[in-house]
Amino acid sequence: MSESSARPVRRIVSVCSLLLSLVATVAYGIAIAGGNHLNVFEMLSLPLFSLLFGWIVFSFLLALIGIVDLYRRPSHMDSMIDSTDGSFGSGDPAKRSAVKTAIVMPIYNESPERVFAGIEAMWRSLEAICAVDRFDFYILSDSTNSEVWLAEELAWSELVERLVPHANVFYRHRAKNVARKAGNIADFCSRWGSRYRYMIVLDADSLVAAETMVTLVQRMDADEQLGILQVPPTPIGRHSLFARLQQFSAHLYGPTFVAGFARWAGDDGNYWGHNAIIRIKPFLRHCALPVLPGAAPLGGEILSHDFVEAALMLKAGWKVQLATDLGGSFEECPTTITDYAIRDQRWCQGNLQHAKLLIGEGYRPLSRMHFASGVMSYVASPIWMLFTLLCIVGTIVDRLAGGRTSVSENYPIALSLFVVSMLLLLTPKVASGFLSNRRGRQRQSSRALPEGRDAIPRNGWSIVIEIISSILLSPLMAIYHTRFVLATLRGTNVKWAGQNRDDVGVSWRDAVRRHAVTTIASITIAIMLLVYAPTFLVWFSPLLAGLVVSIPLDVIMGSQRVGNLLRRHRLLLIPEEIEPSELKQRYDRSLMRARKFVDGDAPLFDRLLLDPKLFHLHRQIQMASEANIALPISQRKAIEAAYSEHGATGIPSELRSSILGDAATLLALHLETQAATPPVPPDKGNRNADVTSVEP
Amino acid sequence: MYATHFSSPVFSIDATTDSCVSVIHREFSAVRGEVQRRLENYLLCCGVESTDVAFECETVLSQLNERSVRNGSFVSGVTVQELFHSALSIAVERISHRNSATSAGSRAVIPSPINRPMWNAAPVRCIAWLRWDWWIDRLIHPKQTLVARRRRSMQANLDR
Repeated sequence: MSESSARPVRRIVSVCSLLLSLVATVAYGIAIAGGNHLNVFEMLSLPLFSLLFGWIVFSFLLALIGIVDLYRRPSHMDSMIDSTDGSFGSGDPAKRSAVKTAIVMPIYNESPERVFAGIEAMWRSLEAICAVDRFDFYILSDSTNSEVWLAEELAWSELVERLVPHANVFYRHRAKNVARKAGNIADFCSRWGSRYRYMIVLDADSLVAAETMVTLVQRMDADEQLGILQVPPTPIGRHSLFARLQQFSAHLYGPTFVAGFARWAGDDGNYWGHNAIIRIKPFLRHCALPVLPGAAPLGGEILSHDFVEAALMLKAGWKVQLATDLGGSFEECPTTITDYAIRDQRWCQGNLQHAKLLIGEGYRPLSRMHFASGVMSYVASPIWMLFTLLCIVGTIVDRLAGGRTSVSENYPIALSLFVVSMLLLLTPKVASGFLSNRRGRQRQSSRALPEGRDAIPRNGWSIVIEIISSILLSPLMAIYHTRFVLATLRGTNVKWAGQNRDDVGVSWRDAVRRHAVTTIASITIAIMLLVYAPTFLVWFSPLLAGLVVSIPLDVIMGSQRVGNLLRRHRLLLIPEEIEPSELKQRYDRSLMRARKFVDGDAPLFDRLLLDPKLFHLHRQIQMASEANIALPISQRKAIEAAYSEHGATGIPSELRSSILGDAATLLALHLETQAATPPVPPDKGNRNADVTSVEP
Repeated sequence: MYATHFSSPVFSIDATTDSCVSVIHREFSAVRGEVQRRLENYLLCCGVESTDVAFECETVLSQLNERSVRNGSFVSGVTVQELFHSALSIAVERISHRNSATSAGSRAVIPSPINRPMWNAAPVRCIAWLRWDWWIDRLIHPKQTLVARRRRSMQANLDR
């Protein structure tokens, strides 16, 4: 996607968005005026309508460009789904990059089994195409939970032992979680970055196929000006209804929107924080994150780093592109509405901070657009809420003044606006469904959406289910987003916790606790509308329906049973569910093996004091990471006192992580425990003999 | 209550004369057998090969003996636990040293860093025409501003 071809696309999108928004706003004004003057609430609702309508027009136009692009190049879409066409030429020395590439995975209190299963799957996938010697894996841990930290070390040592003699999988634990994920990556770049030309950045739940990684390196080699190349990740591997809906929509509609976005952005693309390859030298030179003026939450340290890093790269004259034609890039998605909301809350503050960069000096116009769209993705919800409120109040004022509602006077215009809005929202979805079926007919491969005689109706029903679900979920998510935006603007700091990446359901009790107020409020509003303005109930029913049923909706969405039921009926199916890729199969196997060996007995911290092998493994990692932080003497004395009184169990859990970081204190505790408890040699049935370490 | 050695040094009595050295050897020999057995178990648990354990153990104990003589201090009536504690600290040092010295030691954990820090980020400033100082500059020194702008643009090109 060259810059020259992107420019006319941008012009068309800008002009069309403005024109269509203008026309729609005029029509809306006429509809609500109903031959009278606009009251103050109606006048206030006009710019909000314009903004909201402009937002959906813009999204629609991007999708339209994507549809045209994919329709003209169906092979392009195929490779997005399946990258295993063997064209990667891993064995061709001419194509091989001269230097190694680092694959970095920053982690923070994630499930070690999942992290290392993913690493093993990718490592074996690279080994299968004889490319494993061209990559080094770095697991960059910032974990603060002592149990997770030790479990990571164990999992790493077990993995390395399995992969010997090639074990190019490295682990480092940072003493302090400075600047979060961005700081973790910056630390890697500063200390080990100069060993590599590129780094592929992954998330804890990322999976990238070997062929995709090799191709990314080849493309970076081919274009010396390319700073960041992002492969759009697709969600896979979850079973709850909510997760399967996200997976289905990402597989069906995602390519359309991404293709449109890539065509629109050209060389001024964006970076989404993971599943991307980055040229390290310019990253070191230009991508240190600035501190925003003002105090937190909108000022201070930048929380959401990816968009800013892409903007800084572009500002320095490098290209940022999207590799929309590559597949084999996966991630996992939240399984319940609440997990999704928690993730959104973390992102919300980060994205709102970008408002300050919108008027920052030196950024490219497209970077400002990326910042604006990030802000708008959260601010749109409170704007929508405010717009709805102004509409209701405006109508009530009209009624009180003249006894008639304006919309009823201009019903055809209002209805047309509604129909147009629905078309803008739904056409890309339906068109993507048709494109998917067309692709299915063109290809013999089964690695597409469901095929066979019932493929079209099943895809059709899946799309209907997805559309109904998104209609029901939209108001609920809008309420969440509104709360997050208001909380951020009020100055509430967001605490960044590790994500819950496991498939856990939602209990009825939790659902009632979360949504009782919303349900009662929405039922009250519905009854009031039914009594005082029945016509309005029809208009507001899509909005109110989701809120009225929010309690059962939360439970059903989080249910694995419902998700699996639909899967058995071949609904909401994605290619990875029909025929999992080799990478996914490897991941599942590694995960199963890791879970088999999870030892749930004693806390690992207690085991560390008792088990010499685990202790030395930790000590070895600490020494290599150069991350020793000596505890203050007073704290050390307190720990010693606690240990003297109650043994290892007497040490508070919040101190355990600090002890792990202080070699001297840990050694003292280990020696004490060993002196008090004679070790049992491994040949006498000690279960700690399972603990492995790296031996020459 | 747990008996601890956090602040109870094993080596506490001055013993620099020949007679004291012989006392140390005598005391040491009395508890050596038990300490050796426990130390061997510890080394086995650490993953030291069974064929190397006896040698390692011997080395640790002789180092401990040497240290106690060199430091010239030894508690009369030392317990197995206390001696084992001291022997362990030497063993841990040796194992750590061995782990870091081998090719699969620290470098297997992570390669040695080559420090090359990131460049400092430029502070975030508003777009020029949204800043009052920019307007004042334009009004007061229009020519200088033009020259400065050209220089900046050339510098930016060079940077690229």
